[in-house]
Amino acid sequence: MLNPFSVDSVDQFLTRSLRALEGALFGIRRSLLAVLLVFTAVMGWFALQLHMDAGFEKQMPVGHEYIETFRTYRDDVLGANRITVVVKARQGTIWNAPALTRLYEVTQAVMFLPNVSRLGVQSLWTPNSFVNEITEDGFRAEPIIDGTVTPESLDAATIGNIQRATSQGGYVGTLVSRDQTSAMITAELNEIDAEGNKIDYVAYNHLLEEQIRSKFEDAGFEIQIIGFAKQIGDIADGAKGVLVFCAVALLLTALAVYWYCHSVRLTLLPVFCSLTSLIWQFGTLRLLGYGLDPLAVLVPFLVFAIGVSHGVQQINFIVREIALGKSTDEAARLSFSGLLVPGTLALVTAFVSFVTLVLIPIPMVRELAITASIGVAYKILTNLVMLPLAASLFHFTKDYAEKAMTKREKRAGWLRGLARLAEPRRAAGVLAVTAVIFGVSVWQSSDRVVGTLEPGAPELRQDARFNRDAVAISSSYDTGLDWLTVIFETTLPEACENTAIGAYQDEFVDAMQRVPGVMSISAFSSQLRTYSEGYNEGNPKMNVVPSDPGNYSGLAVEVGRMRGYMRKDCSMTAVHLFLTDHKAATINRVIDQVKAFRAAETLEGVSIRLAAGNAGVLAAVNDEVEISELPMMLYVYAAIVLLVFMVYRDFRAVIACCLPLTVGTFIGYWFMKELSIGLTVATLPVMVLAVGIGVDYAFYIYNRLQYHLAHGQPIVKAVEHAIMEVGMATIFTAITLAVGVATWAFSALKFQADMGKLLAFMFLVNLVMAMTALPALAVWLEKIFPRRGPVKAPGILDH
Amino acid sequence: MNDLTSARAAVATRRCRDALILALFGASLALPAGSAHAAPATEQAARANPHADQAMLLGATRAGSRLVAVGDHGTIILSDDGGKTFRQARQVPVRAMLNAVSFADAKHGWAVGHRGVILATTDGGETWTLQRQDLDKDQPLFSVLFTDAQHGWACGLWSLLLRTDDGGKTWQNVSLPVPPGAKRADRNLYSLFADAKGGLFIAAEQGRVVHSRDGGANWDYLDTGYKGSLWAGAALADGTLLVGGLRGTVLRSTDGGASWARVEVHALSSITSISEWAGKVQLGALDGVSLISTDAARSFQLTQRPDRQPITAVVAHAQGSALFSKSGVLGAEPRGSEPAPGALK
Repeated sequence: MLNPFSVDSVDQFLTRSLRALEGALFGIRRSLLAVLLVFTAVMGWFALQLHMDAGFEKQMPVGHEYIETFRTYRDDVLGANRITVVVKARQGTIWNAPALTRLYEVTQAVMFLPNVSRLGVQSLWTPNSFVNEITEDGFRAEPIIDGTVTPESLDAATIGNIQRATSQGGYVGTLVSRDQTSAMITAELNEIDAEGNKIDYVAYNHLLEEQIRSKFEDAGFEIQIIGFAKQIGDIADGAKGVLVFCAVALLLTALAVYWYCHSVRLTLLPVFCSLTSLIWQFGTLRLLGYGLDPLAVLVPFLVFAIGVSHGVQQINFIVREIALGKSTDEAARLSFSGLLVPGTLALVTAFVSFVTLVLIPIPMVRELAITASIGVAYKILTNLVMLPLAASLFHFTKDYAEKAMTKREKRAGWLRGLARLAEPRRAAGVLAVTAVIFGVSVWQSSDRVVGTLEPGAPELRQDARFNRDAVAISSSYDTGLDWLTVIFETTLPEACENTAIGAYQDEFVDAMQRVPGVMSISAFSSQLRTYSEGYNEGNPKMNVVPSDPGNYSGLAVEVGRMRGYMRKDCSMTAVHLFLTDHKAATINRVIDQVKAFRAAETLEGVSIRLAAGNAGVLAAVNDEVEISELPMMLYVYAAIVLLVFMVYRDFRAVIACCLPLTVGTFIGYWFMKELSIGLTVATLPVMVLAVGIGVDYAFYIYNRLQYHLAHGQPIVKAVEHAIMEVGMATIFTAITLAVGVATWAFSALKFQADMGKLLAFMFLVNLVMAMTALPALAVWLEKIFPRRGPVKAPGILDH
Repeated sequence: MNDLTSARAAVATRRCRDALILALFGASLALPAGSAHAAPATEQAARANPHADQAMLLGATRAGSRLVAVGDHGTIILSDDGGKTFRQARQVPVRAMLNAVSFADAKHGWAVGHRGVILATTDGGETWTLQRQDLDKDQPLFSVLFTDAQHGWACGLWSLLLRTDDGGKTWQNVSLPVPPGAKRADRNLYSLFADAKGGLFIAAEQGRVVHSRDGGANWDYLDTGYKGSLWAGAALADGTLLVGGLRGTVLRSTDGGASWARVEVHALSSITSISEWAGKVQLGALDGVSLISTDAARSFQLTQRPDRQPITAVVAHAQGSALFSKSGVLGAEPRGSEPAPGALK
């Protein structure tokens, strides 16, 4: 029976098993590699069928109050799926024949797009744009552009009439920009077409570019397009661009590895092994029925980078052993058994980090967690088993190994300076500096940004065409880009005659109007007021919610003809709060005010539900991200503490490994705040992963440290040796990884750029912490808590 | 989405008033009055609002040198510096929309509005008490006029005319005669005004001015020859009667209402308010249109605010005039601009 509490028996058992495993695997290495090759080919075939799969639904947290509201009423509220096309004259106003003709042509083109409900298209040219003229005999509805007018027949008088009607009908700010230099066309998209096919947003976006933008944009006119189809299409296109960055990162990594080992074969080995697991990962995704989400496309490449870093450790080991006179086969075997356990430990922490992502109840993130965990699990096979097996088939002369070793020794010369930081007085200095930096970063990182700051689509860059269009449209029209929809829900019968609901909502609108961050409000109750005024000759004194039930229900029928304000039976009526921006602070303030009103003023049978609209979805996502952050971090740290303690059986090791990581995490938060990178679905995984991957360096350094301590060296010497041995490989890996992910900073997608910058920074911070704070801490922990007995290095680490 | 845009969907061409009446009668059959609905929020006291001067304002007047304006959600605001700054009245017992306000002197004033609400103040508008409301009928009051601290009138939808002779302690309904050619007295009464000789006038629907020469004992209908609604009226200092209504309609009478002549103002915006100050007559209208006459309303100069804020009230004060709109207090002088095509004929 194995006693799990006895270090020795566990070690012996593990060491024995390891040796047995090594013997078995290396014995059948050729057939094993052949099997893996066939497996790779099969997975590659599946991987090729993987396609980009954009999903709107997947981005929304499951079970969140706001999302439940959104789902319940998504077909009843505003603009779930609408496209807006703006024709802007580059010079002058739109009140001339060429501009109105262009508007006519674009309107026609939009009408004939697939999935567009033709009757729902609106512009100055469509018959559903008309002006009510109040006259002494009642009121008269006239189209803005008379049916008899054609683009050919536009003369000065006709254009004058159109301009007057537009102004009279209140279309300035809605169909025509406030400065009258552009005009708008809006259309609703049906996600499922007449034949029952679901819209392919990526393809649809290309159609918009082809049929609308490239056809009608020229020196005289600009075409601006916004809408969900455009947004997700642009994101998918941007995500495809990331392949280029990944290729660049791959090339950079390969060059760096070559510079490091001076062998083409050893360079290609870790790259190919990492690619292999990528192919497996893509194949598995396809088999599981997933697509590649444009928002998660970076993750496989992140896993790839992790793979390369472990591959480099293998190469480092093999070359060192060859230089010590071992044959390539022996060196590969030693590398396998020597690195299987620490490598697995490192990968397991990465695995745990990815698994904690499941805590965020957003399907897209969970999918990402599964994708990444599978990738990391495959890494254990490809980088810790397949790589040494393949390496053992190579033959390296001792000459090569010695040359490589000398070169590395030379390069490592300056590491001695670094290693001297471990001398107690210098170490104290390092710790003092670290403590100061820690304090400053904790202080500076308070009030971190949650969510995103810039207007428009947060996934895209500020200067992306979509966002420039979005800002241009929102600044010249009354339609806001960010809105929060509050639902008034009732179970009362005959709700359409219940004037108290309208009055209650009118009070709500009045209260919300003054909340900073609310730009304008469009609500069922405000529509009732507008209609009441309209039916009373435009008299402002009748701009009220009618308190007569019959009159109220009559006007409710009118409001019901418009999309987005109510259900026909008045069981749901909506208030759309247009916000100045979608900063988490703004959204939260508005939501808090809604909750305050809801608590202070109630109406029996009526409940106020938060919240649809893009701001509602954002608020829900921000909520989940904020709630998940702490538990995720705690789980990752718990895993690290557990693993470190299991391997080293020493609380000093736990502290020395974890404290520098914590400092690194807070420096990372400070970095985020300085660069205005918000905590989002994209950056939270990065921070958690940075801990999971950052601990690798600690593992490798502490591993050697323990070894030298066990061989009776004093702590300062042991630290120096450890740094000399693995410092180079660690620095090299960290810099290689950082350069690789830093290329993402050039991505067309903002969130990828943010992830790239943050991750590159975190790799470097963790490296610096592992090379300075960790050794200094180890030295002082040893001084403060002197050991009573000799240090035991577990046999499995004795390599 | 612009509220104005949505009004487009209303396509009814029959008279809107008929639609309202139909709706009202239909409903009173379907639902017993005062059914089990919860107490409406409008019956609570008005909220404190730091931006009350940006609320929708519908009526305004002077109380001594003080300006008082009333509007949406029981908003009442006061200014003691000629309209430069406003503050909210300390205590208003309702949240109903207030349409009009009248002061008999610097201290005593009344405000009327929806839900039949009549409020009174005895401290120049700082605090208000509720004198009347009618929750059973949706019959708003549009105008109020007090000739002294005891005698006052209030009028509203469907010939609702109320009078008091005890400063509002009690209000009596006044029945008006059936207008010529009609079956019953159901004209909307929009604006009360009085001349210096004790004559009372109400600008009303269908181009009529309801008139009493005996302090309200007997009423008759003056025919202006116009067919639309008249929203505003005033007796000028020289005795000229002036009424304004839909689509830039301005009518003038120099014979006490016996005959009326149209004044051409070259605007299509409905007139909401009339005020006389420093020998000038100023009309406020929708679409940000303001009309000023220096010849006793024989001709007007038009300006249109670039923001097109619908002007709802104009009040003269020592330094000039203050303008009020659906978006609150407006700068005293509208920045002149090219009249927009929509406002002009």
